[in-house]
Amino acid sequence: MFVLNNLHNTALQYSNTCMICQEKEETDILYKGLDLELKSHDPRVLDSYRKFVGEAAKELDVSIYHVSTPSRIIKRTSLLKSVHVYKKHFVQYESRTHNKLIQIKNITGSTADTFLEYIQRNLPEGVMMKVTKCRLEKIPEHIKPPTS
Amino acid sequence: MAITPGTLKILALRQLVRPGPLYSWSQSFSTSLIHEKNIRAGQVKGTANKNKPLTYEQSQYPHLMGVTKSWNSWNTSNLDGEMAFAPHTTAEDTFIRKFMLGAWHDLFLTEVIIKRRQNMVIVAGFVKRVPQTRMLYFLKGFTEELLSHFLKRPVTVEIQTAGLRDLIHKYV
Amino acid sequence: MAASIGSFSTFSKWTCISQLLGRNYPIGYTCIVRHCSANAKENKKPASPTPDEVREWKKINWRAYATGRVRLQVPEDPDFPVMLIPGHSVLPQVLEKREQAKRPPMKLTQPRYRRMLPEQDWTDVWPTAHTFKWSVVPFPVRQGFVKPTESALPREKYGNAELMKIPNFLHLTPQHVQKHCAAIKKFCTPWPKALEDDTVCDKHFPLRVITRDYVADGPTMRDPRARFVTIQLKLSSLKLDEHAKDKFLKLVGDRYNKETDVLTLEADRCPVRKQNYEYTLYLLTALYHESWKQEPWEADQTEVDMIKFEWPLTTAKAKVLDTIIKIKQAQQEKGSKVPKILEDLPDTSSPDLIEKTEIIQEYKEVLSELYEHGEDVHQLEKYKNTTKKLLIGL
Repeated sequence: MFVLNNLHNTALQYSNTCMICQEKEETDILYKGLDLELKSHDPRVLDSYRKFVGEAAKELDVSIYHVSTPSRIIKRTSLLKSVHVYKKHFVQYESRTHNKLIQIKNITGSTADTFLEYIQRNLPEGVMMKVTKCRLEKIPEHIKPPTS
Repeated sequence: MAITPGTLKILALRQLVRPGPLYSWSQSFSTSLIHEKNIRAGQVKGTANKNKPLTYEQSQYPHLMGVTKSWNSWNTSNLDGEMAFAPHTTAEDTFIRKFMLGAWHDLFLTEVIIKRRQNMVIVAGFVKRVPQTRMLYFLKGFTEELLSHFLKRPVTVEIQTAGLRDLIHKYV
Repeated sequence: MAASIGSFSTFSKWTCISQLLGRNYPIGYTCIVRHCSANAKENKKPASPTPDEVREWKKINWRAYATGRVRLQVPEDPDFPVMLIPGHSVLPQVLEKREQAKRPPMKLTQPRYRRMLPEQDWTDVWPTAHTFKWSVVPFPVRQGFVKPTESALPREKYGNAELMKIPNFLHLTPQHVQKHCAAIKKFCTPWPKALEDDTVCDKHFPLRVITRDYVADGPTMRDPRARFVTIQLKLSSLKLDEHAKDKFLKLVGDRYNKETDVLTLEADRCPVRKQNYEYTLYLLTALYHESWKQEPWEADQTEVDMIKFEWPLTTAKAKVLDTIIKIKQAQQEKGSKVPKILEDLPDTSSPDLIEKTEIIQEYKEVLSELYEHGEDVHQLEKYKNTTKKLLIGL
């Protein structure tokens, strides 16, 4: 590919700079839950993908709390069949969107990043994913009663 | 169903929303569906000799899309709530198909299949068995290079060869 | 033949010659090479079909005939040999030379799946996502619609565009997943055991930050909907005194859910998720500190401003005390009957004293329950009984 040469050069530059700066220690994020909402025009593709997600979760020790199939959405439009006049004759088109919901409970940030990246890289064509992340945090320190 | 001026109005209105045969309200008529449905778009007209070859997808009518026939272009642009890039994707598809028509002139046996995975574009299809295989390899590289440059995304061409006769499903 | 009829419409010299060259044999012409061959073997061919037989054969096999797969050999007639037109017909020797020089038909190699062993590693054969390759897939697959009345099978995998269109998962078999996950397992961390209990989680991490990510194909990977940030926390986890809590709830309004004790703050006004997150934290901080402040005008609160049922400010308190004082006055002046409970009260008792009596306290509790929990048959029954007790003595 024509972009590969440039990437190679930049990668080399990056590696040199990384040697100088030290890695900061970051605390792992805690996610109470991850909701994966999947959408596609074909329900069988979603079923196969759900099986793959289940297997990947099993391998990476990710606990799938619940899997459900929300009802599909059908959008229909009626358009005039002819280019000019003939108002009595219409043609109808429809578009179907099938859904799938996979709920994951209690997952750390590192695991979530790894798992999600693996899942998303293998997302088949025509499938869309929405990830809702609910992370746990402590109340900020400055939110405390006034001393006076 | 009693036929009054009111019912006729309702039926006329129904016709606007659901074009269909009129025989449903009158028991004396026995008109057939074939004559009532005037949809010829995407339906290949048959010849007297029945010597016109059709591939499988050409033989399936457009209303069977998603039933016995699959889409040629797979992407997420038309999903419910994801319509932001629908026109962009459609325009891109049209461009890719035109490009393939010109670069792979008379070589494609089926429609060009376009798949989109994240930011990658995969162009697939069946190509004629041509003695100059070098030409096909060149065209593959040429298409990938130019389309990647135009679309600003990695493009892969995944073609397969077949004989013309092997793709013929039926004759009309 | 259909093909030749079509090409003759152009009437160019080159198309006519191509017909004669034999790519699409037109009816009525012989195979010139065979006719002029000196080979004795070739002359000993089986009897050529008669025109009637030809016609019969055409009727039965019209489909094969129409596709041009079969070229008919019209019987040779010694009385009517083929005429060689000078300038148009190519000499037989030249034709023969051309036939010999013709490229042999393309030899197709065996499909790859025929050379595969059952013990092979499928992860090496199909490492990444690829469109369906019929020659590489070792198992039989069929895809295509066939009418129930037809006795044919659905279309096989060879030359099947439908199988190419549909996304396949041949690169995500269990073996693939195991291999991939084994390589990335080192980046995963386990969930802390101590936090497996939800109550412990809520105690140590009361704040919940909800964000959304979108993955779809398109020209950009950015989605404007990803900037939404929602913050949720239980009000019990914040340290607020009574006044602060009351003021906090007034400031927050609909964002607080009384049943679940959850406060929800949403932000989408900034273009970047980080900014929205910081804004929600700022909102929380501002709300918290503002609720602890006591403004001078807050003392002017009336019953209308109250969220909860505040007995001291209610008109009910004033009214009930006023009623009891009037009853007492009536007892004094007119000597009317008074409920036993109220008899025990001294004549000139102040409203504060009356308030401290048991019956008024009971009345206060019943009334506050009615306001807090809403009207219910049992609540109304209680209220009725208390009121009767107070006024009539029953």
